[in-house]
Amino acid sequence: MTRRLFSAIFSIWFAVTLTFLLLRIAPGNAIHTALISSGAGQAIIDEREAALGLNAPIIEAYVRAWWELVSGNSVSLASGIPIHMLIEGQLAATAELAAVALALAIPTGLVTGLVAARGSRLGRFSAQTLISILLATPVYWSGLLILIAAPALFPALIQQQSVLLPAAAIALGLTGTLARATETSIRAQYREAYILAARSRGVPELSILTRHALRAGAVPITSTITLQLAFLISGVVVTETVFARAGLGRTLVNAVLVQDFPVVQAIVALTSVLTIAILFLSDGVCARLDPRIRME
Amino acid sequence: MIHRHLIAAAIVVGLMIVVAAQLTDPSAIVGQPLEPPSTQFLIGTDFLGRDVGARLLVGGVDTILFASLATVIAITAGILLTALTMPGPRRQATMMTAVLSALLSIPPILIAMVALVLTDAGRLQIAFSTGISMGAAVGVFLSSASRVITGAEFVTAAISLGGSEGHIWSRHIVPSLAPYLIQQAMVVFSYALIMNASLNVLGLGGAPGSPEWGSMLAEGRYSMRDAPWLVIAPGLALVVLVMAVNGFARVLERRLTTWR
Repeated sequence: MTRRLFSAIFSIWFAVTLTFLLLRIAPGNAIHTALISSGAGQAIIDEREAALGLNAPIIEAYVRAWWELVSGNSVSLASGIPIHMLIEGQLAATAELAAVALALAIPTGLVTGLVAARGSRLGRFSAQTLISILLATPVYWSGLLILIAAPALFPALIQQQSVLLPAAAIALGLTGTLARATETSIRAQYREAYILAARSRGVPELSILTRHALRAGAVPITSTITLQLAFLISGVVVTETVFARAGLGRTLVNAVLVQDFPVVQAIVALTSVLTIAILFLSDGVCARLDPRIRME
Repeated sequence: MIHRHLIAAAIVVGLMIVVAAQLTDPSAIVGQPLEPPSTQFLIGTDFLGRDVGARLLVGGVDTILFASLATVIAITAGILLTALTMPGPRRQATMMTAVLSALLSIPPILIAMVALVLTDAGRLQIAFSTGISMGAAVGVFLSSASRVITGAEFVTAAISLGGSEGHIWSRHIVPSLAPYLIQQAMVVFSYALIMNASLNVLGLGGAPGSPEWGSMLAEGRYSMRDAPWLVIAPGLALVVLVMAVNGFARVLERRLTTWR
């Protein structure tokens, strides 16, 4: 447990330091680009960069980067807005998108996976085909298709700029991976001897599925859900841009485009902390579900 | 056996596409802008009046090329990371495992985006960023696979026969790793196809005007209301290609698990 916590803290430190070093060696920055394009001379650029501490020695810059992350006390180079305000404003929209996508994907993924593993012949075939298609479909493409089809099919949702449409685009991809994980896990459970034992005791098929196979197969499914976090994050980044929706993902893309380093650093750090925290929690959940897994 | 025929068919179709791609000029303006699909232009024309079908053919070759490049980079990075974790003293191995899991907890798209900040935004840079972003995943996969193999009986046998460390790695462990590596490369390749195109769609790079499927999607976005085929065609091509690669990877994986 302590060891696991230690490795989580190490991961966070590592992610922040790596981003810091990479951004440090990056050529150019938002100030430089903006001033050059407005026709400012080198002297003005140097003065401005020095005022913002962009040319500080690496140790000083590193300490300040940490201080700024912890205190939230930095400003965007491009807009001058304090970063904590920028993030607070966008976080809610992104959290809503991710939550709705998960809420759509978890039930459909579980059902599709169950049908693919245990359905009738036709059901298995169609569910497996559907899973292969979903797994190969990029989020941005399903997003674009939804944008093409929605004005004709759901004009109301487009007008309200509903969260359902972008969430559906993310959920389609998530459903594929979740369903594949459920399918594999349930199949593996049905090869175990305890299923045969339950059958020979005369346990009804439905309760074999719900009380035995699903319960034992829950651990791999749970760990897949958490491993899909990276997918969820990239899905959010892409859909926010494709649907022109406000959020952290779109802020990050824009910050990368104008080389607004403090914003990139803050969002990457925040995402890594969240990812690591969720992975840590999911280990705890898996240990509760399966007593054989001890938190080392 | 069916799979062998499938692979042969895929190679023949691929060669035909490469040849056909040499015969067409993807940037020639041949019709009116945004013409719908017709017998002359099977998938219509784009916003400049270029033949989408021809662009799809030529761009397919580039798409595959740059995804392969990203795969090579990812696998190389993965091998380097594994090479650092595997042999050597225990403390070094523990530290590298911690580094690997730390790297793994940063979502690939963030790594790719940070890598794109560092470089310019051309096509090569996109492939590089995609490759780097998946290095950690390959490293984790390879180091767990090689841990399985180093624990296998034939390796113990080779050690007890007095084989040197170098001999055991080059003659026993690396050859047994090869099939896993190929299977992993296919998985990485299918991710690379998607990731390259998504960096393109995000507008973070790529070469505007080039007929790569990602660029076609990115450009097609702006006229997709009037000309949905501009978005549907390259996306569909991408999905079919990724499905084919995933299918091959799964067949290979099944072979590997039954062999074990």
